[in-house]
Amino acid sequence: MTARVQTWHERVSWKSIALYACSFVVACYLLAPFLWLVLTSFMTEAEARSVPPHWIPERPTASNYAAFVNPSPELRMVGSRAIEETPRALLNSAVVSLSTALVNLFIATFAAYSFARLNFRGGRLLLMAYLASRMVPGIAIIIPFYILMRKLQLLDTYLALILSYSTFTLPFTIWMLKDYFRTIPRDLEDAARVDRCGWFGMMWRVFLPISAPGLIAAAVFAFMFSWNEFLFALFLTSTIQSKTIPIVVANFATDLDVQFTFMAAAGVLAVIPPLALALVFQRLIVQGLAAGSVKG
Amino acid sequence: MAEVHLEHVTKKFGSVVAVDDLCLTVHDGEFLTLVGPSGCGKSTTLRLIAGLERLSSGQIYFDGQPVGHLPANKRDIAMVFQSYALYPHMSVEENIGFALKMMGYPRDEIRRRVTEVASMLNIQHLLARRPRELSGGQRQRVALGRAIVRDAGAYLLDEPLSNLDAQLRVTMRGELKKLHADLQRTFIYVTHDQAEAMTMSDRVAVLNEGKVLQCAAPAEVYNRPANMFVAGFIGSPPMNFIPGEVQREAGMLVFRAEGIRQRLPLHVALAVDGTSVHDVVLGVRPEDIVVSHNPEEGTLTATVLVVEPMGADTFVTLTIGRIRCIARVTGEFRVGSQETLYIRFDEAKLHLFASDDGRALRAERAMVLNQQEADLA
Repeated sequence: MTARVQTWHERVSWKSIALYACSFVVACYLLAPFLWLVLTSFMTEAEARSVPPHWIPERPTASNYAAFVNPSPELRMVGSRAIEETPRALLNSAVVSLSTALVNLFIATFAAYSFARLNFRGGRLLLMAYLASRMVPGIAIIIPFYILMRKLQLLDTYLALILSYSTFTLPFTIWMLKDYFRTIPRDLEDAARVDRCGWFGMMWRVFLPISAPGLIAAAVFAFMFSWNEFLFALFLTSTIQSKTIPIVVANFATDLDVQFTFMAAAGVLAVIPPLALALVFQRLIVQGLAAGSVKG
Repeated sequence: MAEVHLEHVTKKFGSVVAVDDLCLTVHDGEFLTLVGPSGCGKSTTLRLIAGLERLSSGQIYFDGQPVGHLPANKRDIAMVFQSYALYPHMSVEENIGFALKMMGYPRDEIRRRVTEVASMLNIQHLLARRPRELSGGQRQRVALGRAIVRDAGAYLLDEPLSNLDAQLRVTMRGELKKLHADLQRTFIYVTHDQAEAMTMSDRVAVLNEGKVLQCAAPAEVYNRPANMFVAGFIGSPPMNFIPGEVQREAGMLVFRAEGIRQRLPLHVALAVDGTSVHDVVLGVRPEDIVVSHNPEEGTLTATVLVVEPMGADTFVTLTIGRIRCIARVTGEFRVGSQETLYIRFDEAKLHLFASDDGRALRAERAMVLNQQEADLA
């Protein structure tokens, strides 16, 4: 038989054209606000407020970013000192988010291993209780949390944020890791024990390295949640000692004025760390989630 | 090397008894196979020896020392798992050397031993690879290497060949046997495949419902099964069982079933004579059925149902009245479906079992010899 060269309309079906078109529309819908944010961050405030609005900056400027590094005395006061506070707020967010991710990994690893491997009385009930706690909206428990933190003299500290974020993220992390751990064959643990490992040795040298995709996915989710969280940070922080980036960015919209370009630049800066994390660990996150949900 | 002794070992999972008051001794340097159907407790027994399961009661001794209280990492054992359980994040070299590393061996010594074992198993070219880059057979060798790299007291192998294709399984059977001959260590092997058990082992322990039904050399288990379960489990095709009764006719004991009258041989008659045993099951191995196209004195008439040529042998399914049995004949024997054949049983190799509990009815060898001498005198 002779091979016949396919014409373009034989290779490209209407179904795939429709699929690509739909994907393009969804991508535009999702990415347009982010693109607008990035483009606005390179505009002057006058251009950003121009009517009719336009997308592409006519005279792109990096001055909005430069202001964060070395703000002039008058810019320092913009947005309740938001420009001045942005770098420190980024650091605070990083410390709080990383710590929450680590606390999550440490506690959830032990908890999830117990749920995945040990049959103990009330285990299922406990898991359901964790899930139920995840259903309670933050606004419902913010007052008790505030009072608790005040009594513990933890207001306006990293620890207050780390503790409260861990409360919200741990149930999800435990559920996710429990499902992931169940996909790891028991024989591997047994083999490690036969190969002269105690329980901790087995965990450290065999179980946790194999679980890396699941652990990284869980840690990234805890990090993202903490990085984006607004409500608890608003209540529990009051000075730049512990204020996180969402609070400081919100300050650009004061009662008197809204600084669109600075807000956009701060927004871009705030997006970079989680975006970088997601890009770096993209493969592992998908692997971790898929193993937990499909095989678990 | 170690002698492994299990004393009244019981393991319960809730109300389920997986291993039931099991007593067994595996001698130093012996290759013992635990064989039985799925769920008979063979893998649980192996895991109890390894320390991967806790004893419900009883004790396990290694060289006379009780080890029942010790966890797996404190027992002097190495193990090959059915799934191979290779560490996916480590190279083949790291997999094989892992236990030695855990035991604190110097790096040079680990490398020397790993290389030695790898060349023994012919996997030296795979040392840098990860398990996912290996074929089933190669993984199996690495799993084996991970065990034999250690100077363990006992080597436990849990159905290590079950994931291989039939051809490779036969090759590995031979290699394992050679490996045991070279190493001269204690091997405890678990399988549900009676061919593996028969070909590799010094002794075979047949398990069912958590109990050892017979533990003896493969030939002994095959030729002198202790009960109907062992007789039916060991051998392929399995032994034919014909239910019937024992009667005394003209001073001699005969077995009678529908259309069958069979004089009982001495080794069976001596065991039955003088007892109240009446309902029995006659056991005949397929190869102990002699078939012929021509009738002779004492032959039974049988109709051929199915003919299964296997090459060297042919399996012929026959009916004698309503009784169905399988005969093994040579590959050259020509027969077709629905043909009539004339058969007789090889008397010296008949087995008889009590139908109430399935125990074998067979006189001791000494008793048979004494009777034969008396008859001659």
